[in-house]
Amino acid sequence: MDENTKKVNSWRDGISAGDHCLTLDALQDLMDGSPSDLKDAQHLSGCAHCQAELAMLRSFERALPAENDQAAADWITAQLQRAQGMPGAPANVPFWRGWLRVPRIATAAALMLTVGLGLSLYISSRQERPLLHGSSSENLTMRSGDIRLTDPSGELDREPENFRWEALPLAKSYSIQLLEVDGTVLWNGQSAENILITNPELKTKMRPGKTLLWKVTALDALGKPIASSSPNRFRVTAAK
Amino acid sequence: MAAPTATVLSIDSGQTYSDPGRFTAQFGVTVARHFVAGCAVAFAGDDAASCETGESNGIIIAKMEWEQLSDEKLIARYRAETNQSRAEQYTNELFRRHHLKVARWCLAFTNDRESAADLAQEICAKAYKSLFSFNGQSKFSTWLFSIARNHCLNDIRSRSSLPAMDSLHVVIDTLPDLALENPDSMMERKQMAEIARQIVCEALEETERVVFTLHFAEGLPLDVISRMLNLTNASGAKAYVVSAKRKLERAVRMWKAKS
Repeated sequence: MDENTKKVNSWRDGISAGDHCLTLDALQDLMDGSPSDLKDAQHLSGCAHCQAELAMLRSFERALPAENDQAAADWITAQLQRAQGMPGAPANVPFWRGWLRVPRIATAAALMLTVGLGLSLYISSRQERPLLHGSSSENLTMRSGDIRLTDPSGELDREPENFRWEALPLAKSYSIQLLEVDGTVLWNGQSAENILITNPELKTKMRPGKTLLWKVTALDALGKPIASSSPNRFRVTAAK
Repeated sequence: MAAPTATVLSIDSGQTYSDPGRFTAQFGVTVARHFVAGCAVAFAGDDAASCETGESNGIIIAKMEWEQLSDEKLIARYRAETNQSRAEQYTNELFRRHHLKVARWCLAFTNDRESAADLAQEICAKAYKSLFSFNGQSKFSTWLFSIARNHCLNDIRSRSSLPAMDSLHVVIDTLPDLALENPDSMMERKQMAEIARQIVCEALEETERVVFTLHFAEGLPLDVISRMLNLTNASGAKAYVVSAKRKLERAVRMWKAKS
């Protein structure tokens, strides 16, 4: 094990769950102000892991509205209620769920599915893989790393004049993101080609000495993501 | 024993009726007699006579009963109920109470309502399927939290190629080394962890400690932590990581000097 791994492990171990860490129930009791054991409160005061767990539990329980998320939270809640059926309403059970409660029908359905899947795998293994050009975008599954980024990458003397990546035949446009290493998005843009010319606004985001990431998502005609790249890292070296 | 009177009836549309006679006349349904806290509850006094006890189809459960039952009692009734449609009403009410919590929790993770809705659906489905394993020793909301937390953390970890994870390695690599320069003082991993734990607890303030732990131990991206903890300062969790790192460097220097 190298020195750096040792160092990282020691910090991680120091803040990870230990043998004496509290259960969620004990944390809930502490949050409610009714600890079942005084030792729990003592442990909490000296344990970063339990404090972090408690902070997460508190965040969940209080469901504090973050800035501007009320409308989104209401929308999600409505989706959830629509999905399960409202209380008081007749149970909104899809007809097939009723069928699947009958063991014989469920078994038959599972069998048919297995046979169908087996057949399709057999047929597809006997056929040549279709060329990407000939397939429909509907059949594509978005995968990270499907787009290969070319430039920029690594240490640069000055801001890159453009960003380049390998074209994806089915892509109608590309979404480009410039990010800080912690994932904060600094800049968002779109391009119809597999190149983006660096505009002055984008250049201002590239502070010398700061490591940045960029990634590309390919979009279909409807603006739906069909593939994405892994992030590429670059840094404009500090002016000497 | 005088039965307490429930005066509110509701159906899914949100309409509320204080007069059960009007309610039954308009909708032609049978209202069940309910039992709340061991007392038979009849609706609106004298009109209760017109209500039948019911195991009939299309049962509508009084809003008051929903509200008075704890989560755990709803689960107990769900388990005891033999009528499928009525059993689902109990679980629907149970989950409805917690939808907002789950929604906000997932929003903190994704900051995008469509993905958050997907995550929330998955969490609710998982909880619904595992409801039989809920043993009643925990609060339902604590149990639901454990499902939501694990599901969202796994989701974050499964996307480990995202930049947030890269940043984790970049930042953690720059933390001070606890190893002493004297080769005679080789420490065991356990001892090092204990020293790290002490230093984190003594040198950092509570929010710094929590942010540091969530970021480095749980692998949560900083923007997720900012939303989860509702950190409203300009740079959110990042500011706490930066100050934590500075304080840890100082604390490690002092600890090494003492050692």
